[in-house]
Amino acid sequence: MRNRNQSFLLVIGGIGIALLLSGCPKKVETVRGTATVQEEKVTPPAEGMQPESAPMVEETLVGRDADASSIAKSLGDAYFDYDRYTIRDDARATLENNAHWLNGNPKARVKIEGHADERGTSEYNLALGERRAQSAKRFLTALGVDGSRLSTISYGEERPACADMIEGCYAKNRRVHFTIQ
Amino acid sequence: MRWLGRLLFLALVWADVRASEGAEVFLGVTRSEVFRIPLGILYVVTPPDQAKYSSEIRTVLEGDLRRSQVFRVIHPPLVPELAGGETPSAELIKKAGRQDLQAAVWISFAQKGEELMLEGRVYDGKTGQMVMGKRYMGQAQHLRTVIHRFSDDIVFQYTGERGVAETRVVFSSSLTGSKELYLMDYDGYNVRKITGDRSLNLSPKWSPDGNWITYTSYRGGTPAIYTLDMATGRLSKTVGLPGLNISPAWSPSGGELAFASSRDGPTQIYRVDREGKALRRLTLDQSDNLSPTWSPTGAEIAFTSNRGGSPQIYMMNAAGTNVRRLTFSGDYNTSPSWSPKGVSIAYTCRVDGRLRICAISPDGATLARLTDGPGEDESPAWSPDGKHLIFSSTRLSRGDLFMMNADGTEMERLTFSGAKNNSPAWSP
Repeated sequence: MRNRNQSFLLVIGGIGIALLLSGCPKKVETVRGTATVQEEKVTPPAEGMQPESAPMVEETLVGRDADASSIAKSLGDAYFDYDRYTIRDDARATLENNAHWLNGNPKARVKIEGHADERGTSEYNLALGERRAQSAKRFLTALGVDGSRLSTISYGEERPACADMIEGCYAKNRRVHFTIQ
Repeated sequence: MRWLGRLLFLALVWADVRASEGAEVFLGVTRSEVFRIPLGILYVVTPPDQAKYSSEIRTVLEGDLRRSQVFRVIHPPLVPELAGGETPSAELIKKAGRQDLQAAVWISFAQKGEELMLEGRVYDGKTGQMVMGKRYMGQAQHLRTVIHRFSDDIVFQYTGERGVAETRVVFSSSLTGSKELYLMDYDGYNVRKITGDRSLNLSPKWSPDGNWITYTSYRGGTPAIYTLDMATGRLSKTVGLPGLNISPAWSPSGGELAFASSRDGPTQIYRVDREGKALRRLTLDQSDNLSPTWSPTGAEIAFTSNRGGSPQIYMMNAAGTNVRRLTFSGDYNTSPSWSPKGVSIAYTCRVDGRLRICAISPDGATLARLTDGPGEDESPAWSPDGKHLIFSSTRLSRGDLFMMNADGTEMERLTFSGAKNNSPAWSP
């Protein structure tokens, strides 16, 4: 019985392969009435994107040292406590210095970058960085700097100033940084 | 007797796990090992000069079927008669089925030039009857995809629901110094870069049909939301409001995009239509509100808000009304991800100073911490079948992706570059 079954399968299989070679039907082979061997072409989903190699637009990507001139010295970074955007006393002094420089250089337009350390989720850190940048901007405008000269952007935890996974480094990364536009 | 011992042992381990978890309860959607269907690959037939493919096929398929959480992969005794290459008789299958084998897989593989053919059959171990049979044709380079397809077909045959072996994951990585998006197969293989603008590309999310990836990019200088059409590679700007435009999430119908923007000062949740038009603000307070995730019905949105002083998970209906707080445990709960089955919301929680993956039921009644150990874990995302979570972790590097079952078991490392790989999103 089994032999008869097997030869039956072989015959059917042979027909199936013949059909396959001649190119088409969906059901190639029938086995014992219920389950069948179905044929299927497998292609992964289309992925048409070509990673572009266009040069970047973003000015700060050239490197944080691009403005490491006298301007950078005039506009110091202000630091924050973990998960906070209130201006600390030490940051207050820095921002007062920055306001002084800005008031003495009324044509300068400045971008205020808010940053966070990496201990947090990336999306929440973007919101936190934005808060820090907005805090610094509010502080500067309260000291007489024209708000229209100040733009804000948050980089969250994506552009750390210091790369090690230690508190000393995290503290340096929770900052606002100023770039002249 | 051995079975009894094994059961007792498992019961003890289980009791021990429960005890160490204290009041926390697992959201048990994972099938315990003893309830899985015993499956074994009987034989992989190849032409003599292609025998090397046999172990690869076996390894990939066994990995897929094990991850399906439907099957328990066992290794049936080798039946020498199967080496002949003919399809196995019922008698041979029953012979191999001595070890309580319920599903017996037989595979025939051949590669000719650039083309491959893989015929896979699944037999009932008790009766020797064929349960399913498929013959797959494709390009030789797509062997893993073909095996994944076979695995998903087997899972479908036994459960009525397709497996996830053929799905993909998009994530953000610092591999090249900037932050670019990458795609990989669900098992971590076949990593390919999909952006190359050398800016920051963050928080990618799939459209419900899998045709688009929507994400935040700084490519134009400021953080805006872009949509990449996967078939054509065409990139379009979807939202470019002043300030931050982050954490996009498509509604289950694909008709609406929720996201967060700082255009009014604090970060708030908005929604727009498919074309990025018809802007509506959903959250109206003065705190930060972000990271929206839709319920599978599209009726509700869970999100992160620090309106209570610390970041917590909140829920609202999709029009922005009926806001209520979902998490109360701990002072840092962010990045919610609503299970496609609706029963659970996974999120990043902070426990004893470390970020972990937690999950809570939408009624707040059941809470579980799913990860432990060194490093920090964040940004969980669900597999489309709701059986797995993928997340990023610094437990073994500066940031790699890991997969685990929905209850936190069977954790598996998927990437090995350590290049701050994060924000994974699982394709539908």
